[in-house]
Amino acid sequence: MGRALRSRLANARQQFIRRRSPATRVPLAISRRRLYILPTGSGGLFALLLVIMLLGATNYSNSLAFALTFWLASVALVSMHHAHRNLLGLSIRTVEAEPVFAGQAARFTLTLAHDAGRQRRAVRVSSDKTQRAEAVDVSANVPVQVAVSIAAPVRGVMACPRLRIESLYPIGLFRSWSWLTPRAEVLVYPAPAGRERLPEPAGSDDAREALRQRGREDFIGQRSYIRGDSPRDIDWKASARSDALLVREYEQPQSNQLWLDYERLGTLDHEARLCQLVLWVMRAERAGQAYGLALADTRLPPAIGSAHYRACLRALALA
Amino acid sequence: MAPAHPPSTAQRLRLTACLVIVAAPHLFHLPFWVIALALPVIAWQALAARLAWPAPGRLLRFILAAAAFAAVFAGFGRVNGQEAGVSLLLIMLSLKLCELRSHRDAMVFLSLLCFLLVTQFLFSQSLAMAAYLIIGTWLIIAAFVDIASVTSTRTALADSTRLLMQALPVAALLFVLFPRIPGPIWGLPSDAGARATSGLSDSMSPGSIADLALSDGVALRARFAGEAPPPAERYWRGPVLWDYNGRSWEINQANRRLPAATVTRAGNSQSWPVDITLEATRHDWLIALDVPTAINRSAQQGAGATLHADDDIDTRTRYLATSITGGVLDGNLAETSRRRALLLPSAGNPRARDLAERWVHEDLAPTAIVDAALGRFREQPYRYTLSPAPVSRDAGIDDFLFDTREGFCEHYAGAFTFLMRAAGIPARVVTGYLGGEPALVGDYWIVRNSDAHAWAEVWLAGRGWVRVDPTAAVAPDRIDSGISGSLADNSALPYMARSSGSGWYRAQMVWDAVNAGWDRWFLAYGPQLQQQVLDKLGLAGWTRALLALTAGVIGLLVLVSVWIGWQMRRRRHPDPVVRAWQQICQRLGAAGYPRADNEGPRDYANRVASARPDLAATLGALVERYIRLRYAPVECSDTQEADLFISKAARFRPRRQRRASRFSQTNA
Repeated sequence: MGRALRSRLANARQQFIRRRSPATRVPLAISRRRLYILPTGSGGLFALLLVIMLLGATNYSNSLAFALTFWLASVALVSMHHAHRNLLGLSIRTVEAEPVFAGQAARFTLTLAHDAGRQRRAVRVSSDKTQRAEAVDVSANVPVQVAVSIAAPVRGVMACPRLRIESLYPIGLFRSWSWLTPRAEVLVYPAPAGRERLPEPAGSDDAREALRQRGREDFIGQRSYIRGDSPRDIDWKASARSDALLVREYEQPQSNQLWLDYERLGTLDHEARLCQLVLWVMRAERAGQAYGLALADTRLPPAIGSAHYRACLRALALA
Repeated sequence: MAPAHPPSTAQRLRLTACLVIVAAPHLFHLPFWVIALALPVIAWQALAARLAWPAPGRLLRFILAAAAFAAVFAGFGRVNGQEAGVSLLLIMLSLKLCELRSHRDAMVFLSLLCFLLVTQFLFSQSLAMAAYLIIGTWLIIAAFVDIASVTSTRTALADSTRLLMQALPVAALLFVLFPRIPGPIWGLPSDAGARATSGLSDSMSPGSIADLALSDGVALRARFAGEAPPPAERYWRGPVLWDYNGRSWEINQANRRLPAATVTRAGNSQSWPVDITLEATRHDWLIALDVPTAINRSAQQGAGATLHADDDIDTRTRYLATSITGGVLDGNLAETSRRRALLLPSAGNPRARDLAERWVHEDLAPTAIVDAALGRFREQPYRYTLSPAPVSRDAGIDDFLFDTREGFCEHYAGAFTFLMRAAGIPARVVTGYLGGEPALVGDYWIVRNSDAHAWAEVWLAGRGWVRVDPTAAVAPDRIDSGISGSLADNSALPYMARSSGSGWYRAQMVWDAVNAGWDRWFLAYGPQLQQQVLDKLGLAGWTRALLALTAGVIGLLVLVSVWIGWQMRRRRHPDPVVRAWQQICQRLGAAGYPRADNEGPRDYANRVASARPDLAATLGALVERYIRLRYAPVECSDTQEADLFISKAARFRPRRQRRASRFSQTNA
């Protein structure tokens, strides 16, 4: 009973906070309504000490002690205004995030900028879950990039969580902070896992046999040397005869139609199948083997390269 | 959340430096062994920070703290009280340097450092301490800034200066208007207050007043209502000494049982109200002009007509005492007082006693006896000097009267009183001050320790206690010209007592005036002075004053906030064409295509055009205009073209597309 009540209260609190700070498009700035300020623990201790000093000054009728106490209290009050103004108007210009695999930490890179007259000091960005944050100073019209790491346990699309931008400037007695939720998402690929071996490419096993027997692939001609070609492929004899460096060109291996098929993993459940497919895609890419992906609603023809790789992973993440 | 990393080496060293600077004046206040305990700990921790030694473990820290407590308890006999408490605080702060592992530790350290700063003012509140307050606060606030945000020392100090200056008006307002409750709240420890300088004491022996004359420290400052009294009336009454023990004159405890003095006016008596600021003496007598009759604080008048406060005077005190000259003191002498004033030791000083008895046998009236004694001092070769030949312990009066014949005022007063008592006339020694000089700056008079004096009083029937100053017989200039004019050799006197009138003397007098003003207006600002100030400002009641205070503080803080806001205002670009371009970029940003900061106008336009073909035409035209206006090789002085561009830019309002593409930031 108590547990259910507490979870309902927690949910209600989360809803309330989410309503107050809905996801907003970038660029988004800290406005007066969204900026909060409160004394820190050290601020409370400082206040207590000031009260004791005040009592002491009254007891000893000591004018300099009064002067010091009042001056320190005034400094604290003035610092409150500085703390407020330090964050007011600071904006997040862009949010970027590179895709990650499930289980890793996604990095949201925020660009903070402002055009106020003075530098904004000791700004920290963190989320509910990350505690450690480095402080940055943001000068006028000089954007600063800040990274926030969020754990991404589940595959799919993860929205940027609510971020906390805070500062202890100037003297650490007051903390000003604001909750901002920029509308940004990161793509989380399924974690690669599985025990199945990479399937063989479909089509002529005979052609492969023949190739293996011959020992080398078919030589089809020469082309001029392009920077990056392996030195072993250089045809020295032909190059000596002509003016330029020539490189031997071989026949491309054919009929390597490797299809990674969702349907073939009948024994596993949906998520496990996706994880296995991701592992296969990675292995195929690493082996240099062109691969195609066949899912229920998506079919990507065989190819190789980083663009194809990312397209396959995205399809698997969203499947 | 607070920064997770511990304070860096540089920050720790800066905190150590703060501690050293803030604690420095305590070198003069606290016993040497306390400093000897704290200094090695500070040096150890500074080295540890520099050389990155590991921090001491919890057990070691606990042992050190316990040792600190034990040491303070052993040294002072207790742990509370002014000196003991401050010593403990200093040692514990030094030990806290071992434990600066987190941000919160540093903040606690700095807060306690503020506390240490405050304790300095229990020992001294001079102008030098005021300057020290400013420096200490400046450094501590800079340390706070340094801990809260990583900055250079210069920035931290600049920030600290800014904060302090902005806070100053609010602090001044609080100082004046914040309601002052009369203290003390929990009482003062027995060693509270500033250390008293040397002053009059309750016993007088040959040489004691001369010693006092070697100090030119200020004993009291006085303001007269109208004119100052003539030099012959500038006697300041201090403790009255009734008892002679063969060597020195003193106040015996039995003195308290004598009936209090009575003062009655006579025909030509004059009343003098004097506003006196007395320096701390650690005794309870309130010095006033001879003979005091009334005072504006609680005090008792003893048997010797001296005013006594309820407690020892531990701090500078100010009061208004009304004195009468030319009145009758104790017209009727009680029998106990008379017996007391005739008491002499049973033996000792035979020659003096013989001299007195001769006068008695000659059947001289008491006034004639007085004149005979004074005549002796005047006609025979007696000298008035600060450094007379020493007299023997048991026959001091005889040696002075018949052998050495030289002495300072205490010799003359003591010998005269002895002679009077031996002749059967009640007499007593009065100590205090004679003279005073007007201040160069300000309307007050300064009475210094070098003006200390001792004289005698004899009781004559019908006239009460009459003042007789034997020094006047020997050195009549003493009354008119003060001590500097009465001694043949001035060089033994301290500098300020010589009244030379030189530049340094004048500088010292100006400084004295500044100090007097500081004391009168700032240090003395308490419940009474605040009432006066509030009445003058028209804020009589408590509610009014509090309202004014709250309104004033809020008003000043609003001003500060507005000032900060103005400093943080957005800086507009001076060129209106650039501003128009910024407006275009802003609107496109709101539509979902913010300009990257390294993107030039043409690249930006191409990028937006490829994503939004519907905007391509208008945007392209605008960008071409902008490039022509801004980047043309020859400056375009055609304001029409600029205005056209600005107006077109103002009309450019891109609509957001309905179907916003997902992952517009990530490259597929």
